[in-house]
Amino acid sequence: MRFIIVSARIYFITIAELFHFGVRFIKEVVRPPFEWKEIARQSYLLGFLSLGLVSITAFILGLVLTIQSRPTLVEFGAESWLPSMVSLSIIREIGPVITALICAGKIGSGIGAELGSMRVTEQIDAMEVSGTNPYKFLVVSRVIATTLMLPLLVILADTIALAGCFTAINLKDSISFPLFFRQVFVALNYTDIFPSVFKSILFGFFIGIIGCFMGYQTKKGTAGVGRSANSAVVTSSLAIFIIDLIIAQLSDLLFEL
Amino acid sequence: MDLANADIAIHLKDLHKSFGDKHILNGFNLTLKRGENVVVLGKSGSGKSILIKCIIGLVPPDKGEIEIFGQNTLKLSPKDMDIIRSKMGFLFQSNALYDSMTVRENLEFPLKRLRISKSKENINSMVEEALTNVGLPDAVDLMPAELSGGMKKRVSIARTLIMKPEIILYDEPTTGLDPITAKEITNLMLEVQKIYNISSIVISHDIRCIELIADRIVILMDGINYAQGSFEELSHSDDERVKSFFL
Ligand SMILES: Nc1ncnc2c1ncn2[C@@H]1O[C@H](COP(=O)(O)OP(=O)(O)O)[C@@H](O)[C@H]1O
Ligand SMILES: [Mg+2]
Repeated sequence: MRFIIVSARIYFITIAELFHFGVRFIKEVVRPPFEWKEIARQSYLLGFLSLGLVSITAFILGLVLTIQSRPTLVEFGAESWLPSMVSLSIIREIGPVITALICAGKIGSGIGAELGSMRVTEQIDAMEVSGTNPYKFLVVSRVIATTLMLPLLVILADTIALAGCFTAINLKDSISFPLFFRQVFVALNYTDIFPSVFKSILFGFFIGIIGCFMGYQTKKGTAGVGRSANSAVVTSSLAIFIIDLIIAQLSDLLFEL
Repeated sequence: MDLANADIAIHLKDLHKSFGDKHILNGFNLTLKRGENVVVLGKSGSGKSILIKCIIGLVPPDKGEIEIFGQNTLKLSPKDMDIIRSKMGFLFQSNALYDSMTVRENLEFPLKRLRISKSKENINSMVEEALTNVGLPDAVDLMPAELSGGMKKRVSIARTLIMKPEIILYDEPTTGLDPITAKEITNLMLEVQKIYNISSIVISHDIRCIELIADRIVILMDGINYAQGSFEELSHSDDERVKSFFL
């Protein structure tokens, strides 16, 4: 019982601190000077260097999703719906969520570990005494980078997953590219695309801010760095699912009624 | 600046700091004159690092006053604090070199951030000068991970010197180094002190280093400036607690 109370207390304190950390982001992001160079560098490191991983996963997902949905549709004689059905699930759900989870693993843990080791080796303090606001230089630049890069990665992943879908259909059947393209876009609506892009932006923001928060508040030496990287991944993955749920409910309320 | 305080670099008055119910500083007082080297001596965990982090503004004290060059730094805006900090160097115990940057980038960082100099040539020559002064002119393109403990300390001193500081705060500069390297670092500190006419607060346990460097020694115990005096005076003190540092 005592254990539960203590862990619940720590849990709520952490949430409050994370909230505070996020509010600080909003205050600092609008205040000059802006660290353009660092934002560009982080966008390259966090976004561009994730292209390979995201592309491979997306292609396989498109392929597998198509292969596995096919028998059911064939049973109902609705094979021709395959492109529309797969594209809907990719663009609405699989594309954003899987890309975000991969990025939580790759980018979130990287940020948590990097800032964590900078904290315990006093590099963050060293920046502060060198006339640099470390929150702005390290945190703001990374969070802006992940918030900008994640939607782009998701759009890329969606496109590649659809290419995977096209490939999978052509393994068993044959469908021309124009027909496939038409079927995909007939099924899609702005009410599918807008929430998907919007939640990708949120995923990017939360992966960045949670990774930075965990790294920034690292304590207790090198063991703490591992813990920070780990909590960055766990917490941001959980956040991704919670945001996904909220956005699903909201878009249901806004668009389907 | 206030002329009355022109010969006082740092003045600490009644400094208090606690973590929870753990009282670390309990009314610490210290005056550092210009050109003076004060050594702060204290047991491990007595709050020496916290003390100099309070001075540079990394840790806010709970109570008390900190005056640097006659300015009450606790009341300064972040911008004015950066101006004060640009005249101060801080040598971290762990060196705190940026691992993701080369030695050159490490040294350039404070110059570029505090906008000391814009021209590339100027920055390059300052980097070279600082590295030459610490005896490492060839290390400029190495990464921190490729340096030995002594070399890291030298680069770290170079990064501090490049700002031409008027005050340097050294946190245990020779701890963890072998005796020969420790001696070299001590000599280096004395040398740069002379070249740049720097006042300094040095935290150290290293008796040989202290004997060479200290104009005055302050003993931090129970959160206060428990005793002070020259090396000679304190090492022959009647107080067992003071004497124990010099055995
Ligand atoms: N952020 C902190 N939270 C709680 N306690 C701290 C913190 N920083 C330092 N302390 C405690 O303050 C004391 C003094 O630390 P420090 O100044 O690093 O000692 P030292 O004299 O060895 O440099 C230590 O007992 C340390 O545990
Ligand atoms: Mg210390």
